[in-house]
Amino acid sequence: MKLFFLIAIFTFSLIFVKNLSAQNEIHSPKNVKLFADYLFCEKDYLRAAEEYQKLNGGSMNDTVAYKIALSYYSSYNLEKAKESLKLINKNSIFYDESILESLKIQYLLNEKFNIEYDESLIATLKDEKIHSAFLKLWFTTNLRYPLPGVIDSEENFLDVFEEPLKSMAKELFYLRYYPNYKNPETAGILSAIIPGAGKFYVDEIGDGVMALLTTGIFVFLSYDNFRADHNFRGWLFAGISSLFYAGNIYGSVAAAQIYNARLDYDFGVKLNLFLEDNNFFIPHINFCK
Amino acid sequence: MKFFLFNILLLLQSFLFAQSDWKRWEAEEISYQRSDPHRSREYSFEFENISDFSVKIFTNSYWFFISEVDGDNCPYSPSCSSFFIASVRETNPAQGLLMFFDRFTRDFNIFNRKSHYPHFINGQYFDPPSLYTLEASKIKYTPPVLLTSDK
Repeated sequence: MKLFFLIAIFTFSLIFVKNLSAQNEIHSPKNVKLFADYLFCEKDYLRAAEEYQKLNGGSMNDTVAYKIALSYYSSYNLEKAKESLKLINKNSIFYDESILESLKIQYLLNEKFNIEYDESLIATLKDEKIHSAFLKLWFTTNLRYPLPGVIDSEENFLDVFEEPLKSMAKELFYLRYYPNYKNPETAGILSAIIPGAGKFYVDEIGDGVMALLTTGIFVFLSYDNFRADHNFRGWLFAGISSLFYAGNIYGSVAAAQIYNARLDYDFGVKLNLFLEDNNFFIPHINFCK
Repeated sequence: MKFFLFNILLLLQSFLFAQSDWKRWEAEEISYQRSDPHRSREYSFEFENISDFSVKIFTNSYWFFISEVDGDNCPYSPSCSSFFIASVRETNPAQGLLMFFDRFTRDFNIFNRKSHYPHFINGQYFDPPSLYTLEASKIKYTPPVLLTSDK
């Protein structure tokens, strides 16, 4: 009986120790990384980033840091992505990509670029493809947030693009540097000469017609009442017509400003689409083969 | 014994949660009427300065002679009277008046509104005064799309 009891205790303790070590093995750095890789490839980016961040010491390397940045970027956490990219140093094989990713994130965060474009940075970019991609991204993002001396001329800008992209890049360049803005002063003056003309000038045809009609009707009512010796009503309608007249001049100036704001907005949308369609010119690295 | 206890508990439960005579279950009365913004209008003449007073006179007159007669038909949000009050607050009475008359003229235009203004699910067009203050920095352009808001 004693022997049986001892054997039973020994067997149970063996199973217990084995289970304990198995539990520890589940959370080993190797398994955590495997699980994080699985989540990353399943596009469960937020959880993948959390799992990758559990790695530390020897298990944390530049590949993991780059994957954390990609995971945070894909789950729209740009600030954390930016922080993760800072962990990648110049000796890393992902350094070139990290520069491009940093530039992209700064652009998306509407931040003023703090990456200085100079020969020393170019020299750090080893790969020719990355160098070309950097120039494309740098010049395109400078259309939105221009730094002095970056885009000198149309040729200087278009030189970095090859043919399928060149036509769209040219369109964006013209939208940025030669926008079809409407002059608010001109709109106001036109409406002062002919009520509603300023609205026609900014393509608000319906508003222009209505401005002409309302001002015209009240002027006619005023004139008709003065002619019939109804002086009070004559002055009343004259006052109302002058308010419509002045309101229309004011509104034409405002409409020109809104027209210009719309052009800027449309340019921003087109620029974003251009960058997104081309994946911000960043080469895709397939981590999920 | 167990069977007996089980039955007692079952009976007790039905007694405890049974419908009582003094609190009948009834259908709740729900009003399906839309709230009427006309009734919530503040016609009083409380004011702090002469500018507020002139705005109040103008707004009250507009409500009385135009809004009350026309009904709840303003296609814009904020409505013309609210637009006027907000314009005066954002700028000054003279500029606010000009902004109002421009808005009033645009109100007559029934063409192409949907392709021009962003709109809410209730069909009202979003047209805030901040677009018309003539300060370019205040213009936050919104494309003519359906706005997801509780309006």
